[in-house]
Amino acid sequence: MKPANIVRLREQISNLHSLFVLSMMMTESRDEDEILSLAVTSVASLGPGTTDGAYLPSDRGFERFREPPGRKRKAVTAALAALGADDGPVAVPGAAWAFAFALRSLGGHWGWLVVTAPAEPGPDDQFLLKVLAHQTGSALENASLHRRERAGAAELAEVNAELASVNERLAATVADLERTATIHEALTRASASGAGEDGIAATLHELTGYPVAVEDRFGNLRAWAGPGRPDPYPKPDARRRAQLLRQARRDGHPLRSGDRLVALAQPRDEVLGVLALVDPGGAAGPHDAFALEHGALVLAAELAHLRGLGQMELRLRGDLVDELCTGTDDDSAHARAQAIGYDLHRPHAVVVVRGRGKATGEALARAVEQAAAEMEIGSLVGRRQGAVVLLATAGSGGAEPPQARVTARWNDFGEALAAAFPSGTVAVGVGGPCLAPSDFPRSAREAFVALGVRQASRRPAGVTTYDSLGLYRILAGGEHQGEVEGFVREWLGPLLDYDAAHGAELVKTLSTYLECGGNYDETAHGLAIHRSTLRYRLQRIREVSGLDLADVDARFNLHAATRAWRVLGL
Amino acid sequence: MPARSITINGVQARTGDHICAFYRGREERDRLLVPYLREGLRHGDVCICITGRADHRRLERSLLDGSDHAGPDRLRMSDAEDTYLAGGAFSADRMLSFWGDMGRETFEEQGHSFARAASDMSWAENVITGPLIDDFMGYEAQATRYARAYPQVALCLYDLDRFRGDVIIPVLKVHPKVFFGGMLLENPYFVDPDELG
Repeated sequence: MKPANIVRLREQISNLHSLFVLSMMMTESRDEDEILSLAVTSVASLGPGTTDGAYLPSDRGFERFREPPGRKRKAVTAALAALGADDGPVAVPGAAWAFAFALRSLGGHWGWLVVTAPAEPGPDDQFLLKVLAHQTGSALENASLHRRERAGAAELAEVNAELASVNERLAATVADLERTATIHEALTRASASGAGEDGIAATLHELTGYPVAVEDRFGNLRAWAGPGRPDPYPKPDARRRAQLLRQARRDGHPLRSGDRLVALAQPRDEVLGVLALVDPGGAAGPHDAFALEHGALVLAAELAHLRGLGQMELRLRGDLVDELCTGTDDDSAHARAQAIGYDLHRPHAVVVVRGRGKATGEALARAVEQAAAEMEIGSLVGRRQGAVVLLATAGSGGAEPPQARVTARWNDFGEALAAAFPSGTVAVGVGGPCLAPSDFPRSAREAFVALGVRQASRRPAGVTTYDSLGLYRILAGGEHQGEVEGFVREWLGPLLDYDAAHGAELVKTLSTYLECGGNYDETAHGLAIHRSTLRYRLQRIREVSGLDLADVDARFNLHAATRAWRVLGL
Repeated sequence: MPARSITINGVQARTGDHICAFYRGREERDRLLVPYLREGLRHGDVCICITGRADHRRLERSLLDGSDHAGPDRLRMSDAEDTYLAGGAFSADRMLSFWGDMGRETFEEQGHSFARAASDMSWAENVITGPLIDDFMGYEAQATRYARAYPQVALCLYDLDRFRGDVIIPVLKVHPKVFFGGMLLENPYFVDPDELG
């Protein structure tokens, strides 16, 4: 071989060696731009050619790698489009020779390396360019695979991170659920055990570690669990207490009030109690608040149950009162009393109470219950004829107490009721003693007679016992009822007819006039009318009845008749 | 001249080798450079290191850390301004004279038995371009002759983030050995200055 050929061959092999190392560099690179840059800038070092650029397929046809802005090679790209994925000649303006070397790999076709030269390079030089293009294609495929792998790995990492996050949230949710389930079970167990409010408070204290208070709606302590129970228990200010309840009802969840976290025991719309965690440091967390809220629900059910029982007992007691006053057989009455834990074998008296102003309805009934409870004179309370009826115990059943002590006792009862309604009027009628259930109807009738007399009297507030009625007991007597009614009719008949025909109040006016001893001012005040109106009415009474009110006999009979009218309710 | 076995990143090289090594970034360069020179200092070799001046103090700390063999005459740090670009521009003749003087002084006058040279060629970025590339490659080819003249190894370090194919291909052609990707590749067909005369 000629020395020139040996040099040429050696140079060719050296070029191939360089290409081999360059190929390693491109394969090692993960950056498609760097691979293309190495290929484009190596062309001039491998032979007589220079690079026109690398052309890459894109959505808009072909893009020249690192094309300066504004330069387009429509002729080149048109020729490349015709090549498919093969090598081939292309026309580049100003170049005698231009050739597109396909950047191919096993995985596909990545574009072309377009090389120009003043004259067509020899086969050895073209071979080097072909190897360069092929190695570039392989490196591009490798980079693409790595990119996809990296994207897949990144996606996988993202999915894993998301899964880890979901797992974390799930674990937290499970832990929450377990905790709430523990709270639910513990409080439900406390409720079902019958331990009542004390059991609920103790369980909540055990769950949270905080002292627990159960209060009624007014702030009175009903139960306490844990250390530090205040003694005496402080009574909250009524106005602030009402504000707290309003806000708690509006919020619908536990709220902080001073050193406490409080929740309402509120079945439906009515607040039956308040459950509080004593937490001066404000450290109670969401689980403590949940336990408190759930505890309040259980407490609400407990208090509603207790109230239901109380209402049922009240109804049963009311029914027994009603039946005793109406009349029932002794055995049945004793059995029913025993069923509600009441001893009917003791002597009783029927007491009836009516009031005016605020002393009516439930308020009056509660005041009667409370006064009876404080005086320990019985607990059977009902309603009849617009009055509260109390079946009061009238002694131990032994020797009959002196009349003075009996009178004082009923006066104490009346004063207790009057004290409960400072601005109202409370009238009390007390019937005669009942030694057996069959005596109750009579005692009830007598109590209403006494009540009527009291209400018709000049001082309608106070207590009247039937035993103290004297003459009026005769007027109210059952066996002479017909004669009494006839007597009333004889003296008051025209006035009663006039009142019925004209909707007037002549009988009532006359009755009040006589009760007031003929005093004009007291009568007008009692009837809430003007003196001139009273004078007119008295003149009408004289005209209608035809009687002289100044006549002693007429006045006595009219007074007796009006009393009977009132007592008997004619 | 006795053969001496040395390692570059764990790969064996031989006395008289003129090697081009490719790296990406300073950290990868130091992973090649520091063990290569530290091994030399441990063996009592003269170590010539040409890098940017900003790297000198850090490299000295890394190279001398734990070594009690190194003295000021063993580790010789220089930068491109004092060597390749002395006089304001690259001159192949001046640089070859530099290496010639260095060899005579090190081996003949000071009597050292072995030397390791490492030159970071990053200074050539944007300097060795166009027609200068051929001049520079002529210098590199002559440097092979110098490397063989003394008991030494010469390592030229090229940053792939700085140089493209127009420099890399010629560099590959003129170096008898290439270090890349953890391998030392021989190039039996490198442009040999002795054969070219």
